[in-house]
Amino acid sequence: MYLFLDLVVTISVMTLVALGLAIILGLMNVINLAHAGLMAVGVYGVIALQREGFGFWSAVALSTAFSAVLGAVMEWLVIRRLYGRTLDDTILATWGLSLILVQSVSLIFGRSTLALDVPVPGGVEVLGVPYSAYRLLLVVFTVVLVLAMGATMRFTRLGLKVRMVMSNEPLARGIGINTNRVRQVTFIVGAALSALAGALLGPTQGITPNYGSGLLAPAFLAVLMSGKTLPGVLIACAILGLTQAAVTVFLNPVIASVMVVVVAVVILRIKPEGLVWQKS
Amino acid sequence: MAIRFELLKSAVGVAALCAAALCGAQASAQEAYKVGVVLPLSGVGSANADGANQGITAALDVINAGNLAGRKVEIVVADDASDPRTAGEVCNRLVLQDKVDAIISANPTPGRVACNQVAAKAGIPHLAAATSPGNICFPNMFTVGQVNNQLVVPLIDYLVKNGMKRVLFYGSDYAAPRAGYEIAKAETVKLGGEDLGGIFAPLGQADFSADLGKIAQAKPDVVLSSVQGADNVTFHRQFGEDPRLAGIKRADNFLTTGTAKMLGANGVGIYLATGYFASLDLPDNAAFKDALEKKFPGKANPDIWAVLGYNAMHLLAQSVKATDGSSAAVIKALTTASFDGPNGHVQIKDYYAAAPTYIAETTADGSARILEQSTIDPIVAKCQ
Repeated sequence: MYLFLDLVVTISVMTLVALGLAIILGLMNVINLAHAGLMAVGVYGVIALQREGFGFWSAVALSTAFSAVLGAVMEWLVIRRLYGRTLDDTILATWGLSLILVQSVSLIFGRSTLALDVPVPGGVEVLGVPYSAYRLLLVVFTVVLVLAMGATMRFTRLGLKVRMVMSNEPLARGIGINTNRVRQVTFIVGAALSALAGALLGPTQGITPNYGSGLLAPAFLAVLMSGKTLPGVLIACAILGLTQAAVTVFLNPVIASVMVVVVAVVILRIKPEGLVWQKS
Repeated sequence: MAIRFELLKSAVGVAALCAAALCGAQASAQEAYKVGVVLPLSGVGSANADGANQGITAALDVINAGNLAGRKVEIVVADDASDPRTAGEVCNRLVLQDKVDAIISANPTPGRVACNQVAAKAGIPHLAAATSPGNICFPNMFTVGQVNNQLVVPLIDYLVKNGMKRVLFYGSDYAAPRAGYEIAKAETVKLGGEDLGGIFAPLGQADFSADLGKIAQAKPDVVLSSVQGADNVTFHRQFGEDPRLAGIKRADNFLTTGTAKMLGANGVGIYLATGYFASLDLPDNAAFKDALEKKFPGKANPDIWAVLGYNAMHLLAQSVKATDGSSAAVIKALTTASFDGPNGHVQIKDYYAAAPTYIAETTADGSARILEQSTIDPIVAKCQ
């Protein structure tokens, strides 16, 4: 039972981090290396707001909103000039943005490790097994976010427009959809999701300006494996999370970190289009 | 008449030359002693950089105010990003461009070794203001922090003798923790305890769920943790919040009281082995904390990293003052240097430091209750 709960939590954490990356790569074909920087903005926003007397949950909401505005500025200043450019250009530009965000956080907050109090301390019993209440809450948050994203894509006008732009952008533009506006909204949502992930994971982490870099690599691999679809992200996170947890328990964490990369490379070799792909 | 005028001109010329040479010599004697300071201002080691920076810069003010080096001391700070390749590059720049006379580093071991390759080639002294596995020795490098046996042996002694006989080791996957585990294993078995093995996690690991499940299954009396930098906060936070691990004690030889305080309830009751606690009742400690507060009002962070940086600067300054300041002379002086620092008496032996080790337990008010003190010699690799 312990292994099952550890597995669920590991997969959920990976999915929470990957969501923001996936939405931006899926629609905009932009590999957003500013993701770790946005996660840092999210968590340091919570720290700053808590120092001003805000509670944890309201600080998370406000920090996420601030990051959405920041995402809008980033999209307007930098990202929209990358549409149609090569992958190298987008990687370099977003990496540069990440450096700016991380160094800005360093200048304002310093480099010492900080910590957030856990908003829901203690444990609960799940099927007779005690487990951390907050980490189980993270699982709930992840499920809600995934369902919300799925429902938005499936049942809303915005979701319909996004799917049309992903399928055939010139045709979408031809029938009057403002594709630039769709991309802008997508980047804003992706930035907000990155910051939200950073904020929610904050109480479980030592927080430094490089916060998020340890979580980024497996999430990045999962997004590459996903075929740019939400079900693909879930399946990829499940495979990599299972690898991480099982190899840690039966071997050790160092081999587990290597096996995650090996599994991702093998899967991409076999299915370079990803685990689930869009039919044209 | 003409000959006497010529003689007079020559005499004036010679006198001028002599004056210039004398002034030059005096200027050389008064030239500032330049120290390159290599800190992990970014990357996994950055958690310790602020403390080291505070200790070094506070010491600089004290040294210059009291002329403790016999001349002015200047520092040039460089960031190695906790990366060995970057450490080599910044040290190259410090030696070749900034022309420093010595280096003080407070970065992880791989970066320190990379930097010393540059320092050794230039023949300049290099002080490491950090702990070390003790498995390296260079004739120009002096490690001011303690090595594994000085921290691990007294800690294991205390734990096993106080009934915590089933010991599991958990550390970051690099040299110092792995060497520490070997020492902990041997000492545990020697005292009649049970070694439950060592688990090592890659640097930068953010999710310890599966590792903690493994620890819960092993059912140790105590987990001896040696996790580096920010990962240590992550590990202790997740450990403290995991009800599966209730009743399992924790011990740590990297954790500081400042970090334990930040962890709140998750940081209480942890056994620490370290060379320094801010609550030590020593006159040199009071002076050290005053210097830090003066330099960084309201933001002073008197932790082990600040102490190591402070001690390193003072050891270097007194060696410069006792000699002509040349690299060879300073290195020779450092081999037998000693200093009464905030943590007690520090004596350089075999290129490492013999200094007190304190065993303590973290308390709810964010401080530590000192349980035992010992000073043991470092067991280290010998220089050829």
